[in-house]
Amino acid sequence: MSDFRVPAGDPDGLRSVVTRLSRLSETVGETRSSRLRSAGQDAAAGLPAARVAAFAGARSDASKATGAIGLSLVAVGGALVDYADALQTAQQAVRDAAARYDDAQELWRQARRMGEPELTERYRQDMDRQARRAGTAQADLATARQRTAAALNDETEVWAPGAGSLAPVEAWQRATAAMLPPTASIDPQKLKELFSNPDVTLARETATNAVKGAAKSYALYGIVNYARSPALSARAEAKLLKARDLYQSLKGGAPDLDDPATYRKYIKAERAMLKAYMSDNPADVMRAQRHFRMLRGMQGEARALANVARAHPALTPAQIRGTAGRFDKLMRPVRAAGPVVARVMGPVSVAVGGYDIYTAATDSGMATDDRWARGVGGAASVVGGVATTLVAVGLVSNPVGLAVVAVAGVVAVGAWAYENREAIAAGAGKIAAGAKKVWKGLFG
Amino acid sequence: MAFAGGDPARLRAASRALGTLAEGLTDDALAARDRGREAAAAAGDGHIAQLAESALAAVGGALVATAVVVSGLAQGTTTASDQLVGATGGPR
Repeated sequence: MSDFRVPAGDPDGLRSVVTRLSRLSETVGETRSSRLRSAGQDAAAGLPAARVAAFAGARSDASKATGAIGLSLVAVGGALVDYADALQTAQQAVRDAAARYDDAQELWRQARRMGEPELTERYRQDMDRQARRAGTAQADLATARQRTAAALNDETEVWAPGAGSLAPVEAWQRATAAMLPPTASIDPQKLKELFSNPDVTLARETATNAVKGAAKSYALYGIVNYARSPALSARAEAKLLKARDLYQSLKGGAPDLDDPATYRKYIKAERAMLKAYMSDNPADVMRAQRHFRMLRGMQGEARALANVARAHPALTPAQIRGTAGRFDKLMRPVRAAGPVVARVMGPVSVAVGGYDIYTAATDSGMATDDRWARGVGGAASVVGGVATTLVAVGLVSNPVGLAVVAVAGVVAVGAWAYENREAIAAGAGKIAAGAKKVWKGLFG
Repeated sequence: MAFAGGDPARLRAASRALGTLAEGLTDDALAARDRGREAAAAAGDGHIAQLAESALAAVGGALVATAVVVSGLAQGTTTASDQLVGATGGPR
């Protein structure tokens, strides 16, 4: 049966969206990235040592994110342009085929009325040809539709795993949650309101407030990220096993690949398995990579690699380096400065922290919770400064030492204990207790 | 005033720049959301419309999360500046 329905859609409208996406991509991937680099360098230059490592880590995450988001916008724009071109081609081809079909049909009717069998047959063949042209145009569009759907789905998967089939608002919520630990997440209801709100000014206010609120609990970002790597790895392994089982059960059943439905199912299972395999990263590899990323900022690339290789002798240097990301080279100057900064600033942090502890202990004019918060912050600075110095000069390179840096760095860089002492008093007490235990374990 | 352990004035300036950047990223998130809606309206095909809006919503969500990180850096930088001033007894 002929399908002369002109495919719905506005190719020019899609291209106009792509033009604006392209500008947004430049803004995020270049302008914002560059401003983040410059503001981050300024801040890092003014920070005491205990705060530098955690600050550089968070800034590196944000810097990579802006670059990758810029590329993602380009990829979405590319998929939409591809679809817009295919849509326009299909619309033109179907319109043209429909018009020619109508002409041929009119001539076929006349020829039949006049009793001209040869002409009747020729015009009937013309009609068939135009019907086939329309069918081919529809099929080409269907192919482009599949290609575009796969590309868009891939981009969704990058930021919001498993959200391809969900509503856009859920993709929005999931992408935010996927990049932040639970302690720094934004209230899902607020995110939903933000997504649904058409009033840009109001949405901007809501977003700014939500972002600021979430940032206050961001202090645990680094340590939570480190702690959750085995869990993420276990999930990836489970996903791989499930996909592999499905694939093997299909393959073992000698599937009839001539049957389109079986073939689609088989290809889908094969892709799922390969995808899970590509994303699989055993727990020890993830640990080693995180260990390496934390060390190299303070010890430099070569020494950090050597230290981590000693702790993980079964892994190759490439596995330890892992997929550092397309924007890794941007951080090279910062990493090159890291070891020098750490050596110089570590002792300074000890002095500044010591002064905090001293004033907390002796300044009776301060409120009790102020003194408490300053004391915790000071202790963290001292611990962080000592640990940073030890790591920088190569005396500590194991995960326990890193835990000290993480605990101290997290407490100190956030230092929301100072601004939000009432809200986090209980949590900060636990962190301080943890820091003490690690300290005792390390230094007796 | 500068200190051996850091520079509070420089930190405050960096914090302002990071705060402005976080606001800019928030605006970018809303822009990505809006482009997703426009793409969905122009797509014609329901499936492509949903996927385009979801993809740009996911990118927008990632931008919100990045804004949280940058805002966190801004707040941490402000606090570090205050602590430095407090520790050294210098003027705020």
